[in-house]
Amino acid sequence: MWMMRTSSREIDWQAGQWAVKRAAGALTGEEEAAFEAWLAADVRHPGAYLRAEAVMARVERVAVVGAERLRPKPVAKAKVALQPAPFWTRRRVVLTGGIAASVGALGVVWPALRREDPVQAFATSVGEVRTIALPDGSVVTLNTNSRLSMRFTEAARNLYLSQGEALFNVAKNKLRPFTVFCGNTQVVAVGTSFVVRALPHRPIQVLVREGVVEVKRAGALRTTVKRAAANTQTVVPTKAPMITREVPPEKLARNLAWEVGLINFDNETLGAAAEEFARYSNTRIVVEPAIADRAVTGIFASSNPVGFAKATAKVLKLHVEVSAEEVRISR
Amino acid sequence: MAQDFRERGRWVARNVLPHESLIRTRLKRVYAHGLDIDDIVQEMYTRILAVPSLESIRFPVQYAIRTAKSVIIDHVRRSQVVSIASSGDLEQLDLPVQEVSVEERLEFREEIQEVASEMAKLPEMCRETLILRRVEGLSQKETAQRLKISENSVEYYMTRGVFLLIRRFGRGRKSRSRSSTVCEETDVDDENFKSGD
Repeated sequence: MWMMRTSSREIDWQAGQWAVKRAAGALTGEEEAAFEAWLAADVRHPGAYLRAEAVMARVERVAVVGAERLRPKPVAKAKVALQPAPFWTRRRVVLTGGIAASVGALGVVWPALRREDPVQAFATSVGEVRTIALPDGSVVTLNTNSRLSMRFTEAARNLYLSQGEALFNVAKNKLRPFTVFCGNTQVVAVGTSFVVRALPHRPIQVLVREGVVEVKRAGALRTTVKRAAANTQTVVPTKAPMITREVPPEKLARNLAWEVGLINFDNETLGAAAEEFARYSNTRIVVEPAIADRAVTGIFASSNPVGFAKATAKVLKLHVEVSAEEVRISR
Repeated sequence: MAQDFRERGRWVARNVLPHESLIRTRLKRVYAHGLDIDDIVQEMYTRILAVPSLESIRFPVQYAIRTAKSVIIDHVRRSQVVSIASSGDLEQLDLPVQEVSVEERLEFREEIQEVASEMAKLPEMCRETLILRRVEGLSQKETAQRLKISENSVEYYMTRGVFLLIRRFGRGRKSRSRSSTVCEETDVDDENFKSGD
């Protein structure tokens, strides 16, 4: 649904164009009609336009300090020129070490992070979901408790998911493949939307929402490759062969509810639901074993385990006890 | 409507835009499926545009947060993908909005600093066209002459400057919810803007 809509980024550009055009002087009748039509075309357009006007007004508003304050200081400029790609050297080294170690343990050699390449790293804490715009126009959404680093060169876009789960909305560029490295698995995409999941004690999973990706697994003797199309899930077990199966779009959408801070359960056991919540919050949900197989269905804010427990208890007629570090559900 | 934009744009610049990062932070907690926070923010401004009298709004930031939440809730209600099953509850999304505390209010000085630093980061021509046109008040033609470029180029650079500021205001370092990020994303953003469109 939303994939077919104009992106908010594109709308912001159009809003900026109109704002500048209108500020330059009166529009011709034809332009005025085009502007009105644009405003009416999408519910987001008038808002985006208002924001563009506000941005221009904000620049004017600080004019009281004089134009010079708005220009970069010459010293600062020289500094920027000397360091075209600033990054966090110390952290980078730590991260590189971490990746080298995990890759080494698996006995697989992926392209090593070279010292001179700018590497950027992102991490989310428990309960946090973050969307990151990448320099090529792709967008990554990192789910709770995840770690991702990336190295973009002219020929390649390489990303390393060392922990957790991430959704990749890849900007098309045939000449610059977009590859996600994760343990012994590589997922190669050209322009698509997919999720890689690397949870502790579970096989790596790749969910494809749009387009096609190639899942490669490096083995001791050879690398196996599988093509995975939209609406499929590929599981990459450590020993057994990779399995790709179809997933109905509704189910896929449910699986991606975390992208917007929600958890979706469709007839899930209470025990499994509590485990899922543990990914997102330090407040643990403890379920009495006798009721762990009761089924729950619904959409919940992943940041609110207490709310989940209370709502579930109400529906299933259970008892909830909330303390500082845990929520106990019992009969 | 056309005349309204300018006046309402000023009101938004004064009362909402400086606090957009705070608004976004609060919205993260009420995200709903299939919705993008940027879409929500745009639609929030659309609704602000429809308010009969902005001056009657006493707490603009809270008003904006409430408006954005109603956008989310309307989308959730309309959406066919998301069904709120019996045990789920819309109220769950609707976490209470706390009063905006004094320290969360931006002082004008701080605001100037924020705008100045964002301006300083713009590509040179984008910044110069904006300064000449909006701060020094030159016309588009005069700006073109001063910078020795065509009027079309002035329009292009200025559009690009406005666009970059649109994308940056409200996404700045002011956000208070960020915890243990290994690195800030600012660099990626900058790259994005240099090579983008």
